[in-house]
Amino acid sequence: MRSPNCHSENLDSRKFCSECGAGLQRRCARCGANNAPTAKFCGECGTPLGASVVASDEALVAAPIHSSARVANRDITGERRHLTVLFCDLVGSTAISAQLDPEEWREVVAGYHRTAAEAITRFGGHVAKYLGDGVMAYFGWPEAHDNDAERAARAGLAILDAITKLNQQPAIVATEHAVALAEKIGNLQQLATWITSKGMNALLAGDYRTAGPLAHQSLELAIRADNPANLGLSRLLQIMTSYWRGEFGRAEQHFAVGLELFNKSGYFPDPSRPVSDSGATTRGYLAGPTLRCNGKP
Amino acid sequence: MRRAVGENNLYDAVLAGLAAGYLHDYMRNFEYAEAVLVPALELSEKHQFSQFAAAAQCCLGHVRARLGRAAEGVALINKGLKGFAEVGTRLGLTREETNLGDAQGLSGVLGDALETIEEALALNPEELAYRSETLRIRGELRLNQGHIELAEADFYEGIALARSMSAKAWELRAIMSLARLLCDTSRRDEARMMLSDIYNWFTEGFDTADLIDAKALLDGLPG
Repeated sequence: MRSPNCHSENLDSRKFCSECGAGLQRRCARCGANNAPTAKFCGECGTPLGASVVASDEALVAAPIHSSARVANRDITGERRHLTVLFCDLVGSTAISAQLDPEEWREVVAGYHRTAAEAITRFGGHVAKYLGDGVMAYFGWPEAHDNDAERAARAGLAILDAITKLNQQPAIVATEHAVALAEKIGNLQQLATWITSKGMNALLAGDYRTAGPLAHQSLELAIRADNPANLGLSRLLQIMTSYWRGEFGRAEQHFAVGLELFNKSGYFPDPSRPVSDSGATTRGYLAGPTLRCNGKP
Repeated sequence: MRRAVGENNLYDAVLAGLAAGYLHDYMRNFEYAEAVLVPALELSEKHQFSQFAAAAQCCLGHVRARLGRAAEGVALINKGLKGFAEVGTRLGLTREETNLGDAQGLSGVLGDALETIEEALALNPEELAYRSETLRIRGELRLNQGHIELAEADFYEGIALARSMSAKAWELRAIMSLARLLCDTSRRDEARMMLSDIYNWFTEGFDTADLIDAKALLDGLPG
């Protein structure tokens, strides 16, 4: 068989020319049979070879080819330039969105978009598009700098930093929402739980001025709701807040009462083994540093 | 910790390990602290208790620095602080920053150490639980730099704060630091008086490192 390109002679069974690499066989678009490269019609089914391929491809993809060809033509009028593209999206966003109400989720995403856009703009980037929870930004268009890649990398790091601060937001938003709901329904027990959660959020943020009153409020609610487990948690919040404020005496008092409440609450599954000096984890954790600082057991 | 592991309650096991680690770090039983913190860190990493992993790294870092592996300790505390930042919690950060300053001081980078201590003091002025120690450690660092008067002021401030909080363990430490500073001066009587007052307040725990040192210091300051 002769190569249609360099005219070298090849074995009949070969598919490509061993001299120039040109295809030696022509596949029929209709029946799939192989034909010689110069054949005009398929030897198997008689379909015209060259023309029919174009015709059937066009039939399949006619519209997209035309429209994309037009876009390509318009793009050619633009300018070729170096561009750094930054793309970021939220890890595990589907899982988070499943846990939140749509309104809460929208707030979270909007907060994240604002944060990302602020960081991108600060480093001279241009936010090109928001795609769901994704943000795409250009560095080098419309304004070019001599260090666009570096700017993009720095903006990426700045976004990570800012997101770390935002990460507490879903929990805080969800807690506020739960507090409002419990108030509306008038469920004391839930209100006590959620006010305690709010206090815990403040405690973890190191905001003891907020955590202290919330602990007190949640304790009062827990007493009214007559729920020993909530009472124990409120006391725990009081202990932790007093401890870190350096009010060790007060922490110790809260602790003694809280311990009793925990034992009554049934929080520990085996009532024959109440929390005691002998090895209880909660007591150990809270009492260790406190007692040590006070210098007595 | 043993009981929690026996009940397959890994969360409590990690908490207990951390509590034991902090307690023995305070008591200066550093080998023991290391022995409980290593499994606590392994468990929290394995089960992704990120905040506890960060806490265990910070505490273990301090313990290792105190055991003579200062550079390793500094690196570990920095890793832990990064973990805290990722989790977003600020609870107890003044203690971890103070421990970082102490570890940096032990590794000989006094400038970094003092900078870290300043950060610890500025971080959350409402978090007082550890502040007396922060002040005392700043005093020790300043003493190392030869700033005797500044060091003395820090020790006094630490003592006053510890007293206002009835934090006897911190008061004892700050008074010991002050007594060491004053023992070669004409004010050794003042030092002996303060030290014997605080030493006599305790009714037990005389086998702990701080009280053993306090006794030795008192014996070296005859009246």
